[in-house]
Amino acid sequence: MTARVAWILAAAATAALAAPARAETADERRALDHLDRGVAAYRAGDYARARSELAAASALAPDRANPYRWLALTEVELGDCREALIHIESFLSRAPAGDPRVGEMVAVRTRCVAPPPSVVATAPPPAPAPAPPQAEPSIVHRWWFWTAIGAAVITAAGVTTYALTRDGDARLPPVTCGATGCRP
Amino acid sequence: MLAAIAVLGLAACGDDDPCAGADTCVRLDVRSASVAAIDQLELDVLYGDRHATTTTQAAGGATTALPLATAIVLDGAGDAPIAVSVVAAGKLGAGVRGTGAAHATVAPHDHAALAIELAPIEACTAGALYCGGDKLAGDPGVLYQCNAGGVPLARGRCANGCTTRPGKDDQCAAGGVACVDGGHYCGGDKLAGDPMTLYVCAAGAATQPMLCGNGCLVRTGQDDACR
Repeated sequence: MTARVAWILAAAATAALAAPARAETADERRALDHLDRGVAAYRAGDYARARSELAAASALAPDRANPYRWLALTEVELGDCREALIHIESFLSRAPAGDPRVGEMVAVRTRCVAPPPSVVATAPPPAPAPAPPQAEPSIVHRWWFWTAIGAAVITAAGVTTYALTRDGDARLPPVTCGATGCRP
Repeated sequence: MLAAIAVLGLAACGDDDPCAGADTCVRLDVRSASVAAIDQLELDVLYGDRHATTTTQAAGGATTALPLATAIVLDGAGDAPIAVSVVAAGKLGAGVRGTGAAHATVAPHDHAALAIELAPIEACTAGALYCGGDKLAGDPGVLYQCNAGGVPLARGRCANGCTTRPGKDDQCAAGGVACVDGGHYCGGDKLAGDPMTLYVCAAGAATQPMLCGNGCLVRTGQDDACR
């Protein structure tokens, strides 16, 4: 019963707030292929190829958080913290609250923004004159407000549905072992 | 988003046994008190007299929360029960977050279950040999090689037990039967050593070690040999 209620809530919230969202598209399937290749290249230490594949994945599925995370990890390996910071922020703005990868990305961001040890402290420049106060627009008129509300409701509905209907542990694909070894 | 929620729900409501439909299979339940989630599970599997290393991961490198379940399907199982030893390393990003090990015996055409607890890794020396449980996760009756940044690699099961030697590589014990001078033996078969290395017996000791790339085969009534 609780599962049915959760499904109804999830469907209603999604239908109301996610009009542009549709079932997985061809672009998203292609993005997943690029992502798989990018992750494999990252694990193999081929960071240039990883960056190219992950950038393609991100371009095809710009709303997905995961490609940004892998892009950031790759760019750190390439020594490109400037780009990594952009992708870390892109990931953090899309990842749901409580996502276990958030801590990892925050730690990477901290390392990236840490000042290099060779920086010599100098006297701070004089403070500029304060800008004249401006009237702040109402928060509900900010471009991101309703997007954020929609994303939060959809995420909450999905998490609630999952929690109420879940009847077992998470899964990973099985491996098969035979005469020639084991393979996923 | 609808599709994602639907897939999530269907997955949650599906059959709970990852071995469902398999002939000979070992269910693997992985949990941890210190690791919340992983994106890759690296497995070192010793099954019967075979050994392999493989990796399972969710599509797209997605993160999977613990506890999780997966399965090791054994193809072409014969008529005898198969001893299965598994060492698992849970990874997130590029780092190993925890390792654990377990072993079981599964009868042909039957299912068995293993539970592995991932614990923070200890500091073993890369390339050195250790009995399971001595600075790395593993079956105490199996000799492993420490693998920097990955799952420990099984060298082989020690028929006569595994001996811990502080300051030196651990090794498989010789057992109670003496080797014959000039004979060739795998480590752990009548002389102490590495089960993936072939030795020549000299006054009961292992000499002239030769590494066997594909494993060492113990043969009754004749010299052992590399595969």
